[in-house]
Amino acid sequence: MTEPVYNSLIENLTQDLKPVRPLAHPVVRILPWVFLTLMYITVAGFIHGYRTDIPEKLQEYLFVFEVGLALFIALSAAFASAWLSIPDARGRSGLTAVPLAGLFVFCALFVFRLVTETYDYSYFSLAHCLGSGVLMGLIPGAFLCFMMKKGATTRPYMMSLMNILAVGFAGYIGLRLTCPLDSAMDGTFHHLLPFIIGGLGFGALAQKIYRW
Amino acid sequence: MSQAQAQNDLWQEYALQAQKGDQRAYNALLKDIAQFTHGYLIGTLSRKDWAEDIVQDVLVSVHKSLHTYSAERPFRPWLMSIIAFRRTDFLRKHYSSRSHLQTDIESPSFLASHVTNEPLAGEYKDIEAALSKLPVKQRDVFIMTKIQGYSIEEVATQLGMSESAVKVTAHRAQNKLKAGLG
Repeated sequence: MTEPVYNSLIENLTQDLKPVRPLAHPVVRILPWVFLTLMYITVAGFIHGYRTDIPEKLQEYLFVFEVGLALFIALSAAFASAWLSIPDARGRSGLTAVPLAGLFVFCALFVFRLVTETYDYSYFSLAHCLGSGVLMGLIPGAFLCFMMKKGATTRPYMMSLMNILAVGFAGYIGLRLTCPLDSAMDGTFHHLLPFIIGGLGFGALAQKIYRW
Repeated sequence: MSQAQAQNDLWQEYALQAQKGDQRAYNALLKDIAQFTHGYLIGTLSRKDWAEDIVQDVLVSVHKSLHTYSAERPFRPWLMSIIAFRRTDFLRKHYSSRSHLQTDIESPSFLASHVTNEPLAGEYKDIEAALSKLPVKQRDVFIMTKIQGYSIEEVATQLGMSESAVKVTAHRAQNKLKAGLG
């Protein structure tokens, strides 16, 4: 027997019912974002101009590993976002551990490089890759957020973190393929900082953005 | 088949029909959810009205997110994650608004600890007598700030005084009352 206090609400919601199309499987939902983001970064790279030494850089293990790891983090975070947009994450909320593990390895590599490399401060400028970072991140970020808002997440902060990792590392790949600065210090301040700052702003608004 | 499994299968079927627009199945599903959620929450919360508020939030959330349920998945984990989310959300808002520090004036525990018992009502007369001995301005300021609960700024505006003058007057009134009441 239902408590009488709920009866009028239940009647109103029943009257308001319209047929709905169930959301597609998370993999199906996220594939357009993956495809369009890779296309977008490729095109943005052409507009911005790719670095001239890409053939040589592709011979360097460290560069290939770094870009490959960034791609792994971006893709796994995008997939985790798609699962998190379902209230129970279809029982796969542990997927968030995959990009976080990748992030841990990436940070460890960066800390090691920051300690061991020497850096030429004459290149240092916080605005060096800011415009390119915005170009690489803004559209994919808005598109991902729009897609995820079609779901209903019960973990808005984790969702925003996964969004930031997906967009940030996709953009980072774009910056690594267009900007010739290679040191860990450049990577930290020129290529990651724009996404970290943008991500902090986005994370602070997570509750509002993913309210439903 | 266990009772929980049978219930889950029934909800799964209701939800599938509701997604197709079947109002009877949806109505039955919402009634089941309300009953289940109420029973679950009442055991975990100290107040019945909180449970009622959260159940209503859960019903609205189920309505808004019905499209995220996939019929190939069990219904209960999907529902439980919504219940947990709404419960946490409600408690977070409740405690951040500090409403847990408020109490009903009729609450027996509040009356016992904050209001003078009838046999000791004579204390009121002493306070009233001490108040009546204060200068008019000090009495008005004391009553408005300490009894009626106006802010210093509001009292200053109403009595045409500066905020610091209100603070000083209230302090002097309090000292005189302390002295008068021993």
